[in-house]
Amino acid sequence: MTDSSTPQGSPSSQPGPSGTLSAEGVTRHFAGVKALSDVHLEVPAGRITGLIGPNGAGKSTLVNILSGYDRPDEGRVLLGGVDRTRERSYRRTRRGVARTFQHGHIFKEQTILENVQLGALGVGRSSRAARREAIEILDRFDLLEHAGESAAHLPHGVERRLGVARALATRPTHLLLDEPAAGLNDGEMELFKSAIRSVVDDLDVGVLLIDHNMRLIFGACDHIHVLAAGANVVDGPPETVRADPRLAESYLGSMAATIAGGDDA
Amino acid sequence: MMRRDRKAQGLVPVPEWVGDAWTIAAPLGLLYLVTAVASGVSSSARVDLGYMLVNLVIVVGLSIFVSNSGVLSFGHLAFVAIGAWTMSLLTIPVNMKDSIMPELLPVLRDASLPPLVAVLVAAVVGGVVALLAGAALMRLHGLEAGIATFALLMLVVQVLTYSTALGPRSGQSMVGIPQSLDLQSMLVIALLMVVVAWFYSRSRSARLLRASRDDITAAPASGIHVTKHRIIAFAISGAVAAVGGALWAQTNRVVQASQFNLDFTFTTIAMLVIGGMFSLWGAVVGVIVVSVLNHVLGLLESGLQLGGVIVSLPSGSRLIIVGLVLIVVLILRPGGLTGGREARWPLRPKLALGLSRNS
Repeated sequence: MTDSSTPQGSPSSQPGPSGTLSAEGVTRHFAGVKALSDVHLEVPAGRITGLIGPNGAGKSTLVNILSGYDRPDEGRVLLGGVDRTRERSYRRTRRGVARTFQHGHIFKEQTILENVQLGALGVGRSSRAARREAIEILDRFDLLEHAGESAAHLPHGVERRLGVARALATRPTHLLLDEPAAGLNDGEMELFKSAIRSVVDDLDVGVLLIDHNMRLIFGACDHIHVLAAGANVVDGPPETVRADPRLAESYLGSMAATIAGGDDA
Repeated sequence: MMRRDRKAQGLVPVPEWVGDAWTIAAPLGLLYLVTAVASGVSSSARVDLGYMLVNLVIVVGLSIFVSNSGVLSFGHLAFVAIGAWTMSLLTIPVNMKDSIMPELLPVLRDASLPPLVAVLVAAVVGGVVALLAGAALMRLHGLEAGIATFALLMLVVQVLTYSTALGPRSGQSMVGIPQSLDLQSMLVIALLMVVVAWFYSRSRSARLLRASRDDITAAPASGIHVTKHRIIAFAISGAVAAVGGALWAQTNRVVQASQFNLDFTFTTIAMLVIGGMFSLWGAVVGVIVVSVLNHVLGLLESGLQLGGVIVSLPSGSRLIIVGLVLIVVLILRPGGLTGGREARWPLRPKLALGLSRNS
């Protein structure tokens, strides 16, 4: 019974170049409201792709669809060119698509070390290997000193880093980070940025980074997508996007919508 | 499962394995001790002790599923009933089966096995039924799954009540079950079931299932197939509950479908909840506490002479008092008497990490 979880092929054995996670023409309605319409996005390996947009733009919905937590009404999700739209979330994780959550979702009854171990165990690593890898990852995120502590009541900065560490323990080819730096102070933010950069450089992981902190986004990302009201607005390298008037427009436009009662789906 | 207690940091540290071993040694030791003491008290205590060991196996079975998945099952008596039925059909002498169950399937009529083998068969039958039922039910979300298990109990009871191919005519009992296991063998089986539950709880599958108990949303993002691990837990849980049913049949010696009713369901769930729903230790403590309480209340119901005064309770007050205790525990200690934790090494809370040793 102990080893009943079969690993679904080690993600790290998949070659890097084929590893692009992409959304193609993704549309999603909720009770008649269009959360996403015909959205395109690519998350290539070895790069940090930024996703920004005002509240209600559909960023989290897109992460849910990319990670198998939700299915689009139209459009496809491709991983390495293969259609994975209907593949369930746990399988997609084993396939190499890991994600974090906006609101913690930490395994509260476990220690910090166990949280990270579970990420590795869940994708089929042995207990021993899971422990060893968890310790390495905790070290990377400066969490090793907290390893034995309960995850029940964590300071915000620790909780955010733990979420990323646990996702990384699944040895992803693609890592979807939903507002991982929310609430971090400037010092923590810099540490976080360099940790993510080292993950991308060392492990050739493709990262999708969602955040409202423009300094983080424009400082860390290789490519940025802007989403507003569920549709692509503009995308390109940071300097291009920064200079594009549509960036500011999309935020201004959404302020009217927010006042009218918009909500981040 | 491991909470660090800062107050205790001054105490002598022990290796991690001591804390681990304690989580199995404590329940086994307590169970052994209570059995040893109770069997010397009185003959009525010995009778109640038999039922305590039966309930212990049932509740440990229940806890294998409930404490690891966090999903409450109201229908585990279905597997107890199946275990009791299997035991009865396999151990009642053939000539007696002919007279009380004339329409029994020929294969069941002729089946006759030694009691320990019959217990094993009961475990297999209970486990297989739980596996099949689990495959259907565990797709549901937490509370819905729990309620669906109750429907399963109703279904099983109906089949056992009315199917003359599987048992006596409706309303009649199966009798003539030989009492072939003495208290000592029952104790050994009960201890063994605690060990099974402990080993299961340390398995990869159980660890992943407990992660889903902590956070169902986050589990798939760690690659955890929640449904699969729930089904595995449900099957093992059903097998152990069926062993409890088999022991119950040969302890009670009269078996009827209507006995697997709400009272019995309530008693087993109360035991688990009072002890602490989320640990094996909670299951063991809960069964012992409620059983001792039950025994004392039973004595009081039949009138107990205390220094020349006869103290007596109206009959039927047992369940009322157990119900009250349940409510009080839920109010004062929502996690149950054990707080839902495993037994902790008394000198020092378990060391959560042995980095220096293992890394």
